Amino acid sequence: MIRKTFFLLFLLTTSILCQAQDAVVDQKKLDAGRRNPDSNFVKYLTNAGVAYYMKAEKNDSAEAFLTQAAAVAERINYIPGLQDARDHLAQYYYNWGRLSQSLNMLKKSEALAESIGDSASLFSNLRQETQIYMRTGNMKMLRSILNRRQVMIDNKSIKDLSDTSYFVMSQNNSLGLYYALPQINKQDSVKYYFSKLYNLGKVSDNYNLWLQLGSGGLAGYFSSKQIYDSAFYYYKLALSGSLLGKRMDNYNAMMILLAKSYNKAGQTDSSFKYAYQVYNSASSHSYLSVIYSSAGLLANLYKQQSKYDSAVKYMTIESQYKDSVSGNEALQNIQAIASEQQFKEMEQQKAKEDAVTAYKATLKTWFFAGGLLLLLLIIAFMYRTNKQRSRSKIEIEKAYHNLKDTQSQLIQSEKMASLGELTAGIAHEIQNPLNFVNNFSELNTELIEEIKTAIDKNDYEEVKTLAKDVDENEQKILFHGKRADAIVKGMLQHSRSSTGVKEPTDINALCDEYLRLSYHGLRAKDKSFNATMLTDFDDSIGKINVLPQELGRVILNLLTNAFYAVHEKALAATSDPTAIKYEPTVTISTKRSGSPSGAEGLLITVSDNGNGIPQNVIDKIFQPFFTTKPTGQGTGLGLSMSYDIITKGHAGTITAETIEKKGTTFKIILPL
Amino acid sequence: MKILVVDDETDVKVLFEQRFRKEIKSNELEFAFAFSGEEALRYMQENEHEAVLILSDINMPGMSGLELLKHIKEKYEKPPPKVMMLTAYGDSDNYNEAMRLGADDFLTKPVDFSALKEKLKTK
Repeated sequence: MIRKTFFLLFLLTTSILCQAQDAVVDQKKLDAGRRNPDSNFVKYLTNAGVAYYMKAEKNDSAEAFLTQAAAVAERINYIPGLQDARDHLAQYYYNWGRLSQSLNMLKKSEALAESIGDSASLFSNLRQETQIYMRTGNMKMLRSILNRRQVMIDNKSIKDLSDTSYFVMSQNNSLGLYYALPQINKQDSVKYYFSKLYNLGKVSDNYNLWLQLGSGGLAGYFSSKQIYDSAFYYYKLALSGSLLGKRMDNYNAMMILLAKSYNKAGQTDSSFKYAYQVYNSASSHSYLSVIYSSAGLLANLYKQQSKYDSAVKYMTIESQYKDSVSGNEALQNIQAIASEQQFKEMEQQKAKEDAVTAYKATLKTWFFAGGLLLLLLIIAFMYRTNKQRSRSKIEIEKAYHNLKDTQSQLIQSEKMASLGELTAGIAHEIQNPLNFVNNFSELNTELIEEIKTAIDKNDYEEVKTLAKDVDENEQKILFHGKRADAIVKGMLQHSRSSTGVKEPTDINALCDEYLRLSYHGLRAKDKSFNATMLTDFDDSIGKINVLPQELGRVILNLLTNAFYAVHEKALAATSDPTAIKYEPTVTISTKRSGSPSGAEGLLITVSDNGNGIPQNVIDKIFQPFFTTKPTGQGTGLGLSMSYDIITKGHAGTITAETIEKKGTTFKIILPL
Repeated sequence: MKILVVDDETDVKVLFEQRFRKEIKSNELEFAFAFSGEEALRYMQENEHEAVLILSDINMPGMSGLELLKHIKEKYEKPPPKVMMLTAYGDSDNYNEAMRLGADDFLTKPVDFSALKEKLKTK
C-alpha cells in the first residue's frame, strides 16, 4: 500500500520521465524479461508505457507496453503491478478520449482493490472515475463517487491522511473542479479548494502539481468573476508550472482556458494567438482531445468575427474529432455502465464473501464474474439500443409519411399553378375553334336552304357547287371540333396525376401544343408581352414512348421560363432608349441524336435570347424551392420536378447552358 | 367598301368569303386578308389607304392587334382607317385598352356575322 502511494506521487513528478525514456529502448531487457517474467519486468514495462503516454503524443507504444505489463502481472500473480498497469491504462484511455474503455479498466481495478482491501488504489480509481463523470456530465454518479472518496478520508481508511497528503489534496482538487462546473457554479467553494492547492504548491517543490492545478483553478475563479488581470496572472503561473513539470496535458488544458478567458475579456487577438499556438502544437502531436477543443474554440472565435469560411473549417475539424473524444458512442456506453453500477456492487459484495476462503480462487471468480458482467452489459446495452432503434424507427416512418404528404401537396399546387398560367391560353385556344364550328355550321344551314331553292329551280349546277361548299365547311367543322377536343384533353391530362404508363407520343405535336398554350397564356396575362416563336422539328422522329403529361409539364415549364426571360429583357430594353433593338425569341426544336449511354436518343432543346442565368445561380436551378422570381410568383419546384421527370421517369438527362446577356438553352436527351 | 381582315387563323379567309359571298358577288364588299400584324402593315403601305375598314384579331404571334391598332391610329393622321377589334378575349382590360387606343368597335369571338353585317352597313 505504501509503495503504491509512493508510486502515485512519483508518477506525478518529473524524474520518472527521464528514467523511463532511457529504459524504453533497451531491447535486451525486454527479451530477457519475456523469457523470465518477474515483478521487475512488470515495473519495467509499466514505466516504459507511462513514459510514452506522458509525452502526450499519439502512439500505440504506451497502450502496448501497459497492456503487456498488466498481462504479465496477472500471469505471475503480481497484484500491485497489475493495479499499477491498469491504473495507467485507464489514464491513458482517458487522455485519448476512450472513456468507456477507461471506465471498464477502472471498474476491474476497483473490484480488485476492494477485494484485497487496498484503499489507496481504490481512492485512486475513484479519482479517475471522477474525471470521467465530469467529462460526460453525469452529475448523479459524480456526486456519489465524490461522497465515497470523502467517506474514505473521513473514516481515515487510508494511512497517510495529513492535511497536505496526496489524497486530501486530490479530493480538494476534485471538489474545486466540481464546484466550478457550470451546472453547480459555486465560485466561493471553487476559490476555497483551489486556494488550498495553491498555498501548498507554493511552498513545496515536490508538489509542483498542486501549484499547477491550484493556479489554474484560481485563474478560472477570477475569470468567472471577470477579474481578468488576476485570471491571466494565475493562468500564466499554471502554464509555467506545467512546462516545468513537463505535464503537457495540463499545459494544453490551461492554454485553452487562457485563450477562452482572453476572448471573454474581449481581447480577441490574444485569444487567437493562444488558441492557434495550442492548436498547432496539438496537431503536430496528434493530441486528439486538444485538437478537438482548440478547433472548437477557433471556430467560435471566427464565428464571432463573422468569418464563416474559417469557422466552418474549424467546426469541421472539431466534428471529426468529436466522436473520438466525447462521441455519442462513448457517452452511451458510459451511461449503460453507470446504470448497471448498483447491480455490479451487489455482485462485488458477493464475490468479497467468497474471497475470504481463498485468495487465488477469488481472483478467478472475479474475472469470471467480470466477464459475465461485461456480457450482461453488452446484452443490456444491445437491448436498449434495439428498443431505442425501434422507437426511433416508428418516429422516422411517421416523419417520412408527413414529408411524403407535404411533397405530394406541393407537387399538386405546382401543377395547379402551371395550370393557372395556362387557363387564359386555353380559353383563347378554345374560342378560336369554336368560332369556326359555330359559324361554319350556321353557314351550312344557309347553304342547305339555298340548295333546296336551287333544286326547286332545277338548277343542278348550282346544287353541285353549293354541296361542294357544304362538304368543305363540314371538314372545317370536324377539324376545329377535334382541335378544341385535343386542347381540353391536354388540360385534363396536365392536371391529372401521371398514370405512370408510357405511351407512344408525337413529341413534335406535344411541343407545338405547349408552345402555343404557354405563349397565349402569357399574352393573356400581360398585354405588353410579345415574342417570336421559332420551331425546328425533326419529322423523322415518329412516335416515342414517354409519359406524355409528365413530359408536357417539363416542356411547358421550360417554355414558361424562356418566355419569362425574354420578357424581362424586353421590358428592360424598352425602358432604356439607348439599348439596341431587341427581338425576344424563343425556339423549340427536336432532333435525333446520341443519348448519354451512346445509343440513339431524342434531343429536345428550348432556348431563349434573354439575359442568361448568372453563374452563381445556375448550379442551384434544379434544386427544390429555388426560384429567382419574387416571393409568391414561383413555387421553386418547376425545374426540380422537371429534373426528376427526365432523369428518374425517363432515364434521360436535362442540362442548362447559359451565356450571360445572350440567353439560355435547356437540353433534354431521352433515350430511344 | 374594302375590308382588311387580320387574323393568324388562316381559316378565317374561307369563313369570311363564304359568309359574305353574296356581298362579294354583288361587289358590295371587297375583302383582303393578312395573317399577322406585320403583314397587315405591309399591305397597307403597298395599297396606300385602300382599305377603309380593318377587322383585326388581338392575340397574334409577333405584333398583336392592339399594337397594330396603335400604329395605325398614330401614323395615319387624317383620316385614319376605321379599326374594329375582333377577339376571343372579351375581358374589360382588353376592351378598355382597345378603346383607349382608338378602336372604332370591339367584337368577340365566336363572331356573330349578322350583327357584323349590320355594323358594316352603318359604317
